[in-house]
Amino acid sequence: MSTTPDDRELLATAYLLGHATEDQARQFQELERTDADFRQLVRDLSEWLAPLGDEAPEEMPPAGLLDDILAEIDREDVAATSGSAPVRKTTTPGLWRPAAIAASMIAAIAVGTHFVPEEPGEREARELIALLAAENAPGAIAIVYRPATGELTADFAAIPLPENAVWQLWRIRDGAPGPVSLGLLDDRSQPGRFELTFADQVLDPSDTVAISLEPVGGSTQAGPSGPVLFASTVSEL
Amino acid sequence: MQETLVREVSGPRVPFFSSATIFDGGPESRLPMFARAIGYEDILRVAARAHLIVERLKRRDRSALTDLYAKTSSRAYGLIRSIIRDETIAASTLKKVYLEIWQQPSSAFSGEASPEHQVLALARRRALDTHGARPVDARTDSGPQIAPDTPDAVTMLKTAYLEPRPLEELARQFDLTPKEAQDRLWNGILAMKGGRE
Repeated sequence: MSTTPDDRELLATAYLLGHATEDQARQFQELERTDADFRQLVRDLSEWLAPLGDEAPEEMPPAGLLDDILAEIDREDVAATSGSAPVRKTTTPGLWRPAAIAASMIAAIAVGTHFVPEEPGEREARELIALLAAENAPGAIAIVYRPATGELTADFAAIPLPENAVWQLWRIRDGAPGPVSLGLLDDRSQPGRFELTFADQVLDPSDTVAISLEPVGGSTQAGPSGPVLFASTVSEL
Repeated sequence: MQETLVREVSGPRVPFFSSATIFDGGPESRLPMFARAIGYEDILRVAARAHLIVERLKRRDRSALTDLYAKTSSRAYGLIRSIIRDETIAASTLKKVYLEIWQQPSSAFSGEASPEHQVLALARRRALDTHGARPVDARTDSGPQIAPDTPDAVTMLKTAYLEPRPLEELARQFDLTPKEAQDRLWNGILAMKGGRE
């Protein structure tokens, strides 16, 4: 991308900044429909411009709009369920209403205070996450931990599991005498995902989590006995 | 202990660590210190948050959408209203944005910007698409105006982005020719791009 825009860059800029002429708008839409390079240019420009939205004036959407959105989702889910496609649902239709009201209230408070709020329920609802990747290997493992429920999930869809060995999850904490095992990741009942549940809070922001490769049954010593395959610090969302 | 290479998923390149280095234990355990020192957490957090939201939406978790709505809807609606004056059409556009996010989360969050920025970008884009194949109307309201005294490129770009108007009107506001305004907007875009690198 040079300091002098070419015609396509000028066209994309004009459209994305809202000053395209009718003819330019038509050209833009045609190119976006037919030209992959142009679509990528538009994606890049949109992404670079996006932070400017932080300074947009806030304005409360009409009351009930979130209800409408969730009702529309319910209708789509019902339609999908009555067809052949299975739909996984985590809530029953109608149970979203308290969440919708809470979300609307939080949005209203955000407008009033010009403050982007924390997650609803703040600390109780906070989630910790670590993304782990190995050198010269595709994919990553996303570990999500919810202190409120003690649930820890490890998504590893793109990474093959070891054969005749197991992954063992470790916590490393500054000042601690050594790594602490958080358990074996060896339940293969859910493809691409492990789930563990802990009674006590096991992770804090700034901890490091690591996964080592161990013999079946786990490490035979206090720390890992096999190589460390993945490691990353934990971050609070 | 076997030597192993460990690397973080994103951010600056991390020197190789051996497992022995990491797992010697005690206050000297170096990886946490090093991770903080190189400051990659922000990059990691943005990627992780987008990943988590997409995963929740894919699992049809409505709270993911309501959380996102709570955080972004007022600013997204403000952006849409800067382009679409009609409240009914603006609200309908906003509704379509969140339905699109729900229906196609991977596509909605395919960029590298924060999830909130990607929502705002999508909202603004859909507003432009909804507005149709015509330039945004000349402004007739008395919204915030930025003084025309030789603005820097980003300031001018910000004006164009937040208060869309025909290029000629923007150029007049800043005492420039349309061509000069175009060039300055482009410089602003390059500056925004540079800020991300």
